[in-house]
Amino acid sequence: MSYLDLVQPTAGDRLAVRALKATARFLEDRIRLVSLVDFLASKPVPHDLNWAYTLGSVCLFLLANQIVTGVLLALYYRPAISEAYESVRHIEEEVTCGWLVRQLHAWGANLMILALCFHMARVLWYGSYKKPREINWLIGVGLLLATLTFGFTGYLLPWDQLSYWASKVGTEIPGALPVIGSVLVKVMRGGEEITGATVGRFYTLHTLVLPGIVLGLVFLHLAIMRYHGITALPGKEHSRKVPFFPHHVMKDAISIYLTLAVLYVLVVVSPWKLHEKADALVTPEGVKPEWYFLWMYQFIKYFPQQIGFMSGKVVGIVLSSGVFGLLALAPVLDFGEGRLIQQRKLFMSLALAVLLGVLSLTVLGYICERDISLLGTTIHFDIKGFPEKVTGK
Amino acid sequence: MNRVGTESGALEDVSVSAADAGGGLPRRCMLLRLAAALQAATAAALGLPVVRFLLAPLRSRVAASEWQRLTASADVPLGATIALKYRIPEAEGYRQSAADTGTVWVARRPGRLDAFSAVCTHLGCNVAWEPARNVFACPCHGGLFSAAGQVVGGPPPRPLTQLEIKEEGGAIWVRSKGNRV
Ligand code: HEM
Repeated sequence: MSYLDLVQPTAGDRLAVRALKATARFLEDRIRLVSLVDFLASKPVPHDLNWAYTLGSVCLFLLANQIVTGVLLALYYRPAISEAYESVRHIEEEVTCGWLVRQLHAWGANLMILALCFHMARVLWYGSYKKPREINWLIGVGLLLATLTFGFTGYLLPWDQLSYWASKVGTEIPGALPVIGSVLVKVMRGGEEITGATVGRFYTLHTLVLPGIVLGLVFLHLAIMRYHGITALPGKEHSRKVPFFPHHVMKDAISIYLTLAVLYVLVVVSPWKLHEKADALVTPEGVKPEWYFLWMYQFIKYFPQQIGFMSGKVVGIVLSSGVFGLLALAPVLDFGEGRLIQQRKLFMSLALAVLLGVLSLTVLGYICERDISLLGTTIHFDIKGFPEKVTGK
Repeated sequence: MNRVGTESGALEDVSVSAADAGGGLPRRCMLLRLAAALQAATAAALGLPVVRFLLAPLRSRVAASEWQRLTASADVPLGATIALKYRIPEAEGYRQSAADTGTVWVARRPGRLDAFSAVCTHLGCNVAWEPARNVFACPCHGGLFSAAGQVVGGPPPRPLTQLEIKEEGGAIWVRSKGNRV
């Protein structure tokens, strides 16, 4: 007899169970809620799904965090250039728990993009976008683009020096495109310059338009995923099935708890700084976009002014945007039926090459125009990320 | 709970799986209680800052204000009851605004000088002095206050709120007593 046998259901437990059953019956009789929950919970999933399959749930959790903290921030944030910075400062310094809410939103945004990349990588790695799941993959690419736009529009809102100048450079880039370039810049900025009109636009996109789009897409994404069922591990299509609840839910929950821990540690250990208030007259040193745009920003730098009859910048912009095109086309480019890596050697090599390219450009974008010290030696990297000056101890 | 590998289409047979789980095995009973406690603790830890953030306005008290110069003493002759604006310090998001949002009725009677907040103690509309009837009348629900601020008719539960008032250097000064007026 183990000590667990000593634990008997108490009268309280029985009462709780009775109350739960009664509530469930009430809801079932009226809106069939129990059937619905049962339907969702009992979906058979392969028993050997690994931890990478929990990344979608991690994205979902981080999205929920963004919504809750975003709604709270909106209570005090003022989308006008005379007030935006002051209102963020007020949230950060005066409102009870305001710093926590702001930091959860800022770090949550970064983790969400990271989690999306990993989630996407797992779908790519297992070839889970193959027939019949191509459309859900496209919805996923839409979610990625919408989330990146969330990041871009949100970055301007605190109206500090970095956010102002990064948004200025970011909205300037499409200006190089022929014909539509200048129109695009004006539409994005709501005028020639980054002004209160820009803040208004970005705020509306960030708090009204994008949430609508993302929630709609996520609903479709999950509904279609539930409809198709999750893909098995490649080559293990016939492995034993278990119900989604509680087996996979348990795994999801563990990943989410881990994410929560990472999120809170980052918030406390390395909070996002609010810099000086934006000043259109003084450009600070080292203006760079957020890390997830660094690769594009860096890529464009390597093109000469003019390539034949075209501007080098335009070639750079088109080529780097092409990465998203490739991503969207993955189910077409990777057309074979097999999902095992050895059946997709060509495509996986291409994917790996693009991934390495993006990663190296990100690193170059990070180190460029910076002094990096390692073991007593300081190296300055120039605008293209090449080491320039080496100074000893 | 052990419908391993089946699509649950059991619409007729309503199996209340979540509820059933607590009843039977002691081990499950124990684990369920542990899991529920863990979830509740997490929810509380995550929810507490949210609640505190939402309740932040409760912590910002309107402090007793500074003495404010309202007008020259000569502007309020004996027997007069006139309305004047005064500043109410107010936290408006990040901004400490001190707009002239308050109305105060200053009344000079033989031997006394009173300052009444115009805010009706019923539901907060502004009362107006009616010399013909010698009352402060509220336009919203017909509350009536005497010249001394006492309720003489209608629904108001309390007399008009008084502000501290003094005359110094030929001018009239008021100060609110701290709570909202
Ligand atoms: C807000 C963003 C997103 C959320 C909340 C989300 C959520 C989920 C969840 C919960 C799953 C099932 C479990 C899992 O595979 O982890 C899933 C599957 C899937 N996701 Fe996402 N996802 C998001 C973005 C994306 C992106 C950016 C892509 C790719 C471009 C993508 C492509 C897919 C595909 C194709 C599946 C089906 C995989 C299969 O059946 O094995 N999702 N998603």
